[in-house]
Amino acid sequence: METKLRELMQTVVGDPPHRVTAEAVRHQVVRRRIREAAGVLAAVVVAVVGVTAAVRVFGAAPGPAAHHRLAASTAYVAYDARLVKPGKLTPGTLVPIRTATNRPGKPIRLVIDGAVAVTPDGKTIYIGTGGTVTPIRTATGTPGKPIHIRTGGAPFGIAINPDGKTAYVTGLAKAITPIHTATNTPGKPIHIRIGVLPAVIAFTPDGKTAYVATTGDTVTPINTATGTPGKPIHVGPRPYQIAVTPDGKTVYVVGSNTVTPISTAANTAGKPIHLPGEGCCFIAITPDGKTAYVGGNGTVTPIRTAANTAGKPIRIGIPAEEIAFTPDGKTAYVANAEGPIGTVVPISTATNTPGKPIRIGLAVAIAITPDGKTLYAAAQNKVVPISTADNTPRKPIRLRYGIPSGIVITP
Amino acid sequence: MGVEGDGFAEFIDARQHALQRTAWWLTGDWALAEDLVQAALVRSWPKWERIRRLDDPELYVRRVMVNLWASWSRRRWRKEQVTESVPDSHAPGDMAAEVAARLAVRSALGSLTARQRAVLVLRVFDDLPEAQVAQLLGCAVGTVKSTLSQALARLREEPLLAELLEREAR
Repeated sequence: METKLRELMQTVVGDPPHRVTAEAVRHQVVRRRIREAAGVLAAVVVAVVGVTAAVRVFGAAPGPAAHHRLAASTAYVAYDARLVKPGKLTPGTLVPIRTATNRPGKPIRLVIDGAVAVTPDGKTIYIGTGGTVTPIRTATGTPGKPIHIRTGGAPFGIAINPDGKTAYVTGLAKAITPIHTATNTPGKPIHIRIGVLPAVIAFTPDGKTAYVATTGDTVTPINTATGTPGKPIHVGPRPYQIAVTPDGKTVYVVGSNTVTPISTAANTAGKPIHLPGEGCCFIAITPDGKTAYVGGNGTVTPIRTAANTAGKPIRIGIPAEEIAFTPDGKTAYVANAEGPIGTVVPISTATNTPGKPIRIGLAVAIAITPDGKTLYAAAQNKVVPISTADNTPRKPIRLRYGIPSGIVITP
Repeated sequence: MGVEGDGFAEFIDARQHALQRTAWWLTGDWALAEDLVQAALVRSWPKWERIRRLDDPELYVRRVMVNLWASWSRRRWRKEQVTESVPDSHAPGDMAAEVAARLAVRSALGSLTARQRAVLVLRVFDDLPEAQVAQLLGCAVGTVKSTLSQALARLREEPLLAELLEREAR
């Protein structure tokens, strides 16, 4: 039976419809590394905007402008272009979803390849389009002229300075290219020593310094006013992700099994914090700056920033890939973005206890609205709005563009 | 990868069809198969310097792939998998028969446990020696033998599959 079955299986299996390319694999490695950088940035932006919006709404004169601002919030879900076979590319899609109505708007078709980020004012989205970055005006939904960057290949990381004036783009080349958001023109590339993977960038809240983690086991501070890199700071092995506390005093870098704090005043590395398990996927800091959460394989480890000690790992059972906080910082949502079942697990930041996992689907990317009321979880062929009040998924928004590569929400 | 000249791109080019086919028999879906191969390669890449120096780098990548698939299965996604019966195919002649056969085998494989399925795919479809399958799954050769015989016994109870094998024999 074995031989007959072998013949049968080998005859009928057929050919794979798509090719797996080395480039695609590299993209994934890099995306895993960079995705959270965009996510954390979005969370910070959302937190800041959330506060502003709250002040507007609950301030002395909650005028119609405040409501209009909230109502205008839009989630953008990005779907990469795909190489069907050598030479044949299906374009990517950026789908706007009005958070007020949960209706998808007119899709923007682009050869999407790379990261997606939104400016703090929500006016422009920057999206990687192969060897270029394309700005999209959110008011009209029209893509502008692609900006040619010298980062080599796809722009894997796009980090926007909190001042909104520059976007730092990282790729595979040994340089970071700034884009001036006022003119959408590239600035002089900043040359730093970058390892095999592109750099991961985090800005201080005042926007004066960018901290760049590279696979050469170092973090390099960059003076954003002059674009000059400072002396590289040695950190734990293989830095994977980086985050800055809201007060701008400390930078946390997660590498394999360790988290290294860096004092921004002196630009020196503190004593490494050893993680009980593997730290692999992200590091993100609560809006109040009290806790840093480190994603690992099936766990999330809280680190108290006051003492720089690791707490008991929170078991979530799935490889943690992404995290988003509600603007009030009370809940952290952790997404699993690998494997056919993607879930979102809410964690109460007060008690560090996980809630019931919410099942979403293949490849989850998450973002929270500025008002903190809704979490959008994008997965294969759908986007699920989840009410943060009761962690219940609402009716999924069906889309037919495949597997999402990212989601951002404008204020 | 390519630029580094470390043979990773060449490895992918040369072996991806074989890897994807194995992944198809494991997952029963081309999209998932592609994801599985890609995920295994993503996991392997950071260690490629070490893997490439092994006698058989593919064995290592396959091990990563099977382990990943096992962890996906543990999350019980198999229940969500399409296990439709053989559909009326409008494809002409041989194509229809091939599609029907493929779906029949896939559906039969769906009745196996994850481990039985992995052993069957590696030992029967990939024709790997028992020792390699054992190494890949991290178990004894005896376990491979017994698991395979359980899997085959289970498949003998599938009438559609039995019929296909009968036809194949003729």
